[in-house]
Amino acid sequence: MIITQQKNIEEIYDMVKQYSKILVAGCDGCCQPPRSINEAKVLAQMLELKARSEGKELKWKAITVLRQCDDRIAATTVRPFIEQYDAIVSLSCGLGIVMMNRIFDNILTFPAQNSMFGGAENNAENTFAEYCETCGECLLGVTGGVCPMAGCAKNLSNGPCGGTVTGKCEVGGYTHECAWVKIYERLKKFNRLDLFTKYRPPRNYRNWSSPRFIEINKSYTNEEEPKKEEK
Amino acid sequence: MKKVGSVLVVGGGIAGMQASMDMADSGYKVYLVESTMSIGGVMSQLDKTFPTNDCAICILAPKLVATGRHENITLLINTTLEKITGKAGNFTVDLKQQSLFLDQETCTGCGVCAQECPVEAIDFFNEGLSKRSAISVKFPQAVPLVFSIDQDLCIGCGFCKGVCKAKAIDYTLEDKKTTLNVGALILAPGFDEYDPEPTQHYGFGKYPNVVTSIQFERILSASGPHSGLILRPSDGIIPKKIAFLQCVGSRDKRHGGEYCSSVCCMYTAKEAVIAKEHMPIVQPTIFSMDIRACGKDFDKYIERAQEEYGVNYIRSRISSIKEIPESNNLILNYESEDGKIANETFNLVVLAVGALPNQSTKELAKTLKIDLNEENFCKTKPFSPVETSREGIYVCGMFSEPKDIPETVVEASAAAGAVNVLLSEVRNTLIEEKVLPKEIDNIGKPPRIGVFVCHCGINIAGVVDVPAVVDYASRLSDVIYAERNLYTCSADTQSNIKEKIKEFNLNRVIVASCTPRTHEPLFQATIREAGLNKYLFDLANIRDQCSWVHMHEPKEATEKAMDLVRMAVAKARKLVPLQEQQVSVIHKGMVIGGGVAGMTAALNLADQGFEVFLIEKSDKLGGISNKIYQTIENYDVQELIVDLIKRVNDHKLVNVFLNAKINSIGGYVCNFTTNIVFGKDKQKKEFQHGIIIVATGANEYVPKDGEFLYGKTDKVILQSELEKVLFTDSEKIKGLKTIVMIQCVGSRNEENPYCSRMCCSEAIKNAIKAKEINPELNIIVLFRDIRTYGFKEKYYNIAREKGIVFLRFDNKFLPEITQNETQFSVDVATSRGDKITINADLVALSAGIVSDREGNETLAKMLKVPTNNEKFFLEAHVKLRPSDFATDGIFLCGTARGCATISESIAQALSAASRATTILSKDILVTEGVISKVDPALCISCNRCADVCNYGAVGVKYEQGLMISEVNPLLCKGCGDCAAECPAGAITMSHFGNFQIEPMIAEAARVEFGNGRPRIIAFLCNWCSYAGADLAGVSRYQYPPNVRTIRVMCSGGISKSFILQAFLEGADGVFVGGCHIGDCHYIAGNHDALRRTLEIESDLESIGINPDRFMRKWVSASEGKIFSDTMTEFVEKIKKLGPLESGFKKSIEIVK
Amino acid sequence: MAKRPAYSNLVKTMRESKFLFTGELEPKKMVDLSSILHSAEEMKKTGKITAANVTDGPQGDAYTCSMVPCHLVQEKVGLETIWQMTVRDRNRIALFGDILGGSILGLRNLLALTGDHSALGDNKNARPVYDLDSTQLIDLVSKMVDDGTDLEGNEIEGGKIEMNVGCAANPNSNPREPEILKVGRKVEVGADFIQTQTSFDIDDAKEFLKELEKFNVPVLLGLFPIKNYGIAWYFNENIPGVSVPKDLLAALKTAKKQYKEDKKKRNEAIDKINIDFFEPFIKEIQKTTKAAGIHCMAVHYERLFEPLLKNF
Repeated sequence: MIITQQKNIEEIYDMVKQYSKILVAGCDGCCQPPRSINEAKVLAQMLELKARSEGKELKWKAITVLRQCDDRIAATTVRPFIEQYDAIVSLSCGLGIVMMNRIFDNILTFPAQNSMFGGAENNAENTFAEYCETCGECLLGVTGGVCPMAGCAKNLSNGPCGGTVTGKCEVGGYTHECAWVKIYERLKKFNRLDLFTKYRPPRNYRNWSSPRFIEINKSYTNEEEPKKEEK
Repeated sequence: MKKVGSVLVVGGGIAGMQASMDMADSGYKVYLVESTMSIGGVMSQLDKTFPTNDCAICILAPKLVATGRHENITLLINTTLEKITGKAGNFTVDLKQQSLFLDQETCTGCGVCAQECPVEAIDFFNEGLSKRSAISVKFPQAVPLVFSIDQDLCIGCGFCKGVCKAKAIDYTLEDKKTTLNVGALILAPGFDEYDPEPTQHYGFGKYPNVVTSIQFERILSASGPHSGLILRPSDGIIPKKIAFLQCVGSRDKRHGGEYCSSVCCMYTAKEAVIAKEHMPIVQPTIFSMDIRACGKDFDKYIERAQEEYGVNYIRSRISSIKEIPESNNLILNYESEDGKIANETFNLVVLAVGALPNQSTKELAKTLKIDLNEENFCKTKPFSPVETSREGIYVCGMFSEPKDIPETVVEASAAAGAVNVLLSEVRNTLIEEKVLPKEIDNIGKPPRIGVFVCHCGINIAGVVDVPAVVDYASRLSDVIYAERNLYTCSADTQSNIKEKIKEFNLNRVIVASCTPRTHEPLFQATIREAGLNKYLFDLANIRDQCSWVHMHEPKEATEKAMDLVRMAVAKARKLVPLQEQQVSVIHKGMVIGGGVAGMTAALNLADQGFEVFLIEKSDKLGGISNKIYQTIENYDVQELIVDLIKRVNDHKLVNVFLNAKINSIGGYVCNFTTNIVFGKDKQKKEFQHGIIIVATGANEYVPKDGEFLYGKTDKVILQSELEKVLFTDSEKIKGLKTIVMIQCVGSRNEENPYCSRMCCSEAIKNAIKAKEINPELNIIVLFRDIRTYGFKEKYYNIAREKGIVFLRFDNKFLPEITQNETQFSVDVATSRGDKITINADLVALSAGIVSDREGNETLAKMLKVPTNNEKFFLEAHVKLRPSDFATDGIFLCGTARGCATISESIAQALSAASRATTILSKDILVTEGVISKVDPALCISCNRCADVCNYGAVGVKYEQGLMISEVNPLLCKGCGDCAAECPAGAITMSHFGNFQIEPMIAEAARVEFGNGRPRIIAFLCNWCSYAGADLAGVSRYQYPPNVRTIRVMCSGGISKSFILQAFLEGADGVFVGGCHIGDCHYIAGNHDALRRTLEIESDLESIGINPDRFMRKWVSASEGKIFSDTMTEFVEKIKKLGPLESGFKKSIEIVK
Repeated sequence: MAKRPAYSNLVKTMRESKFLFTGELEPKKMVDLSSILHSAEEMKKTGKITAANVTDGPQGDAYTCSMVPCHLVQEKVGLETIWQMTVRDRNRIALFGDILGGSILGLRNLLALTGDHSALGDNKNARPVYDLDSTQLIDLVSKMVDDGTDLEGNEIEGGKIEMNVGCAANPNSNPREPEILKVGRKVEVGADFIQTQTSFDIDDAKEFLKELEKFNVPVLLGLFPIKNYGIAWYFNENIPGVSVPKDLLAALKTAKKQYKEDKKKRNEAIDKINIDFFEPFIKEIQKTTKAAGIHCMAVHYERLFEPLLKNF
């Protein structure tokens, strides 16, 4: 899921203050915590109050979209309202904002949130945590299922560093777990310290640098058929 | 003789109420006889209750109302029992009601008479600490709310009759005699506090600053004489040093009784803690002999009292108190634990008075021909703890032995459980079902609203211009009819309302009068009788929250009343009929655990004719009691078990499964499905049942790692092993010289921070038995506190008389056992500081009780019910719902809940069975109408609703290819927390939904009328803050008329959007009130309210609203003064801030 | 792997099994390096210091780059330096380029470090790089030294560079095992020597050194003479895992109180406390372990070297 944090109201308001009619769109997709229509409504109410405190009038409508990052769904849901509004404020992750701007070319969609990371909910602690950095070169098979890219502040491939103290990381005041100690514990538990000891050479960062594309459902012509490399 | 399906309950305290509710819910007609003017008993006088520090009246008041309005319960106040004839199943009882000098049916409880009464007399409710009138009500939340004239005080001036608009007062009314035919009696007459006054015990009555604990309880109470300030009687100054003296009238042959009153240790700790909470300057010191904190989580409470609150404990019994006349301070002389004589000066002394049977119960016993014990309490036997000596008459609560509230409630239900068996064949024969007309189908029809405005005598009309309000109401759109009544709640007005509904074809009704908390059910019943769905009713509170609190501002009060009516109309337009769902009940039960508790519960249900599945994980019934031979009272436990096992096995309705393991439990109340594997050959079985009773028991602690050399030498054994020797091989004892017993093994330590409750009695029982076998034997009991609560104290005394030595040790230095070739001895550091070496022949370890941690955890997960830290199951409410889980249809009893004796386990088993019977006895269970509903089309399956629901009633389910959230109407309690949380707007709380509250907010903020600035909208939870606001009214605490209240069921149901909308609509301030954290009626809804309001607060500044315009405060039902003060302060603050800029209105449009 | 030649005096001395000492220099935010050069001269004067570390943005602070002071100290003072390099601020391209440049300037020792995270430093919002980790940096240096290539195998014009590379190890680590395994990894990819974090616990240090013996690489145990009570207190409060012994802390506090006004006497007292604590410590290490020497991190405290090391 994409973990998001709402921007402060002033920042959002600054983006849209020159418009008098705004569409506030929640997103029911993978945005966490969920940002659906009630969040959109609360945000719109806040923006209206803010506008009023500056002596302005702001009209709004709150809607929600099944997934803003899906061009077809977003287009279908939002298009019927688009004519009546000057701007869109979106409560989706960055993907949704980009897609909305791409789909609705004639109106600006503004982000109401900062997209933080791809994460999952830890129900016991009531936290969202980052467990995968989508780095494009998955190491989880040699790290006991603990991601050193997401879990280690220094993205170390060969940790731990000297900044770990009793299993806690120097970043964040020794409160967060050191991913590498966790990796060690996991591998030790399964008697696979051989994986720990092994040197992991420098990573291929091409898989982790923007912009990234992956082609899907490509229809090949005969000429384009990839040739097998001869050895 | 034919049996009769009705029950007479004597005593309207918490025990009597619980027994009545259980009986009434199980299909019997109940007559609840109360000798005073209101039900509620002693608990209604308490400020807070231990160990949770819940506000007593907050948790009691809903129970009072529920008892008062139960259709199967008839309340007979001011009534005593005169004569009884007949036998079990069919008694004839003569009752006498002393004249109230007013007609109970006509009195509306408006209270004008009391205000006009010129005689200032003493208020007994506040224990002589404040004044009241000769004509009075017992306490503001009294049920029934009728006034009465105290003949001794009345001077016959006639003022009250003159002012009573209801014409209820009649000086000529005489005492009324009634004769009733009932099948059984349940006695719950309660107790008296020990009165130290006649003997001037500890100077009480002589020195003004010596008060009893119950007086101190009133001093602490927010509704007490000083509104919660701790002021001492002599000069009204805050007493800095307070001494609490334990065992006043208890454990004392000369004063009061020889027995232990069981509750004083804990209530004193609570009073000390609350005193400290109210006023941190207070330094409490408690003088006690033993600290008897033997209930569930009680030791933790004592520990917190000492560590967090700095309560000082001194182990000593005070020998004398002297007053310093100039200062009224008190000098206490005592012998400290190390034997030195000390004296210390205190500003206030609180006597923890014990419980005594009162004079009337002695007479009651004589009338009923039941036996009393030597202490004049009702005589019972350990294995039949709720049976009196006369068949068909049962007892519960303090009358049989001093005990605290949960045990009292357990026994009340247990007594009901016993009656259930006696009268099961005549169940449902005497209760009347009301025949109601078919509901008129109003769906889709435009609203036609009728408004009935109440004068309430002069209570409302004296301040509010009622005709103007009626005129105003009649001009509101959709209002078809409006009228005013002298008393809208009177019987003739009810028929008038019904006529008007027909005449004007009304489909919504609003009454503008008092508070919905007491009167909504009455009006709902009225409109239902006229064919309207009862949820098409709303009430505007123009008395408790208007005329009574703005008595000196008639103009503003009238405007506010108009606003409140307009808000009610706005809501009424959107009211929808709600259907209470009906679910048929499977009349079978499952009992998990085949110990004494499980078997007793199973037999109770089976004897009533319900089939029972009894699941036992081991190969043998009997549980932990198999190790016990006798109770401390010399009752044969093995005989009991053999008898129970035989009865269980012989009973054709009890299906016993041994070696059974539960694979899965599905479903919900009324309809559970359970899969088990049982027997040596692992057979499978699936069955359906309507209820579950958890009676999984507990285990004896086994010392580990050679603790006290246990397991390393045969000279160290457990008490249970000693017991076996004593009862099966007593010759062995004859050769011994010295036995040392070590208490608290595996209890009250870091691993198990609780008292195991029975080890002290167990040790004393074995010690006495051993001494009987071998009188020459030296027995030394090493203990931390001897906890022989109640009548068990007697055996402590016997043991000491027999020469058994008791030595207290300090828990910092545990006794040590030395064994080598030459000696076997125990070293102990006594609390006096001595080190003693005792040469022993045998050491008996009093091992505690531990839960089956893993087993309980697994089962808890399966049932989705909570456990506490030590993995004992956690009941729905430790005080008032000791046998229920928060999840409906699941009950608990015995040591699965916490440590308990066999007698207590039996009572708990009967109690759980009785609670279960309230479901099993019905063919159909009717669900609440006010519950949440999910629109599956809007649900985004995020499951946030399940995160906030405390009842497991809502959550995302995957069924038939769809993943959507669902509300189980049987489990939903209607707090609205999920609706406020749902990001998708898919959940709606019925009756308090967004579409009903939002129009109210809009109307509340409208400012066309007068100079209503500043305008404040207050969202109040039904159970605490709204009740607190009502109490402010009842107590006439005035506050500015700028506040418009909107009632919600729980503060957790207030969505962020409500608060923002209030500001958008132009409110100058918004207030959110809920129960104190920990007191939530819905377990923890206010935690969510706190989170949401904190989030809103953090944004207010940045959206251009001064955060001071928002306020959140927890106000309890007893904090009327605090409510009015808070409102006054808030209005003042907002006045200073000035109006929020006058905004423009806009309509909000939401589309999915 | 086969031992690579000793290119630096430091590694040479280590391999001669002489018990040696290294010092530490810490350039801060400064345009004038004379104080660093002065410190280096003081160390040089003692005749006991084989080489001095030059730090690279310790605690994540933005300081003068370490290459320049390394060069100047070697050039002007004639004291060999150990060039500390963190992977925090440079990607593999910059690392490669810097190392190549350093080797041209005659730097022969490189200590490969991960570096304290930028979030700890004085430019907290910086984007940390960590393209490589410290082990991979050792790998890079190894490739440059042994193969004469960069990480991708692109050849360096003119062939191989001459440099020895060291790695860090932490005797305070807890749990200990992953730390040891990690050092093993570093040695495997080509670390020539180990310098450890500071230790105050002789038993811990000995145990740790014992465990490192199996890698058969010279180890310099880190010690941290404490210049004043404030530093000790800071250490204790802010660097978890490292605790200054209570007695030492108390002695420093007393000295601070006792000679509040008289700076000279205070310094004398503090020096004595340090000598009393560390001299026996070092002797014990020398006598009972296979450590190659001591890395004495007396940063800005060069006056201690003379009295502390006079008996070695």
